[in-house]
Amino acid sequence: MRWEDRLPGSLLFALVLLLTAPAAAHPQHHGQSAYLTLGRDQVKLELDMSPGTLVAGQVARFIDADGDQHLSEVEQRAYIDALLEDLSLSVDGQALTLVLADARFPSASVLAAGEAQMNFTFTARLPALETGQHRMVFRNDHQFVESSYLAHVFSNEEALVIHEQTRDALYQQLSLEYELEPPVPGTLPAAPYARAGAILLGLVLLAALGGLVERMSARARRSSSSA
Amino acid sequence: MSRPFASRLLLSASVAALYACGGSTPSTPISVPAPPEGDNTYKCVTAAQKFLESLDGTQKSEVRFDYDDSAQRTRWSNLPTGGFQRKGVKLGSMTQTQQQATFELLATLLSAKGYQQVVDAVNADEVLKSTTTGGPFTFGRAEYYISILGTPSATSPWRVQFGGHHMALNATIVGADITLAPSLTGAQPAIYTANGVTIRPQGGEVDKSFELINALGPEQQQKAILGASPIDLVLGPGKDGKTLTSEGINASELTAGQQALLLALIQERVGLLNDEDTAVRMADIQSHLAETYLAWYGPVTPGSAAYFRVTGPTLFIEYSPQQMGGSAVNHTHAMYRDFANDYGAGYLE
Repeated sequence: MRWEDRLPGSLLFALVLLLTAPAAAHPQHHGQSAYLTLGRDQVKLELDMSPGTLVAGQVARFIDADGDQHLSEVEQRAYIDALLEDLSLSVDGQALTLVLADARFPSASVLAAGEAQMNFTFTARLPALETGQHRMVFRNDHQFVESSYLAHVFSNEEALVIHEQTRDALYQQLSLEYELEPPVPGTLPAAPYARAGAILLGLVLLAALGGLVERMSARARRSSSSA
Repeated sequence: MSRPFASRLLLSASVAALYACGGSTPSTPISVPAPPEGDNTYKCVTAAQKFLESLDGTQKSEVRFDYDDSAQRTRWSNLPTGGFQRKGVKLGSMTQTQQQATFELLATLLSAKGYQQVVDAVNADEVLKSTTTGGPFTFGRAEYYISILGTPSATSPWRVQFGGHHMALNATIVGADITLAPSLTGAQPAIYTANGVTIRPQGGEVDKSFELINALGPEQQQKAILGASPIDLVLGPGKDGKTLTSEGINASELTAGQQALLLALIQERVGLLNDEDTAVRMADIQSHLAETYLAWYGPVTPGSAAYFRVTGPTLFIEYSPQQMGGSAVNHTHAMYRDFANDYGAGYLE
């Protein structure tokens, strides 16, 4: 059946299970999705906060403390500080310090409509860890409105093997059992060296080009002065 | 430091920084081998050319983007208009002939079943529109956009994007190969009737997922089920380039019959793509079956709200019922990715 055959007119549709009227497209609670990326030296935590239609107004008012419909830098920072107090990360029982790397807020009005995300990236430096088994625990207790949680792990280095991931019933806590393998001798992170190589190459080539232009200019000046 | 040298250094640093930061110069079309005679790509190219010819001058400028336009490539979402602004040409601004050409192009890219699923999901949004009043969002068939990145060709890469509420098809065509990764599908309502017929856009894969989970023994289910309640999409919009660690039960721990059910479930999603390219994709997925995992969140009673995920070295499929205050099974989101070939990147390596 082609699409037009299915659309003799929208009024002809009989609904069976359309139980949600005006709200659509987005959960109604405060969705909080955490993504951990483990490295040898640091952990990256990405946190996507999606306040749904039922709680978005509360969330926007919480952040927009002075109610001027504008999320100022001070208000954004205050929210981030409140959020940080509710997050915890540890490795082998040792608490790690999360540091803000990036924060993105929508406008207050879009946030209040319940169709926008706030995105935060934090990093935490890891202590020097021996090769072998380790346990990392992440917990999110941020809950000033009804919330739902997710916590997952992105793949990163091959020298890290995730053995087991366990969560509590509400998915607020994620525990990871992982193994740190010995670094492969002679291997270096590719990207920084490639980037440094590009910069060095750029400097050499352009310096050479500049020298050529200068020599040609000098030659031209000599020619014109002798003429 | 002499001024000429300082200038050279500054210029060098600028160029090097541009390179290092991933800046690009205007690209020339990449040439790829022509597909064999009779390949489906030729039908897609013809349908795309016919679609473009149907548009007026303004629409043509709105619908076309450079193939390497990264902003347009990632401009897709599950959200409706009002929550997310797409670019391209929307169905609501097209004539009947232009809309017909749009859907004929989709029909060449997709399988008959996949095409019907897309049509049913678009029509579901029309149902949503007819029952929704007010609010910041605009629903309905008119709010679905199409765009074309690159020039339709059998010998250079191009892409068709078709998207709206609960829909983001990204079809990348590179010679004989076509991929739909990444694509988002879904529906709201996910169950409705039209002309006396019950429509479930994603009903096939939902039914197969429950068939699979209930075919597992208690110990197998214990490995597969990671939580008692469903979760949201993990690698939805904005999560390009991320690879999730695999969880759940490994396919090698399944019996041959259970593996067949798993492949049937995968086929439901992968099979949105036309039959020719689905066959190639399924062969690749089957070759990695021993590295493929099934994860489940939620109850296993058929018809209940449960999330599932299938991951492999090149495969990522997830399905998520949405808690909206009503029935979660009546509002669905789903993602399909190929870790090795999202946006056809693997074809050009």
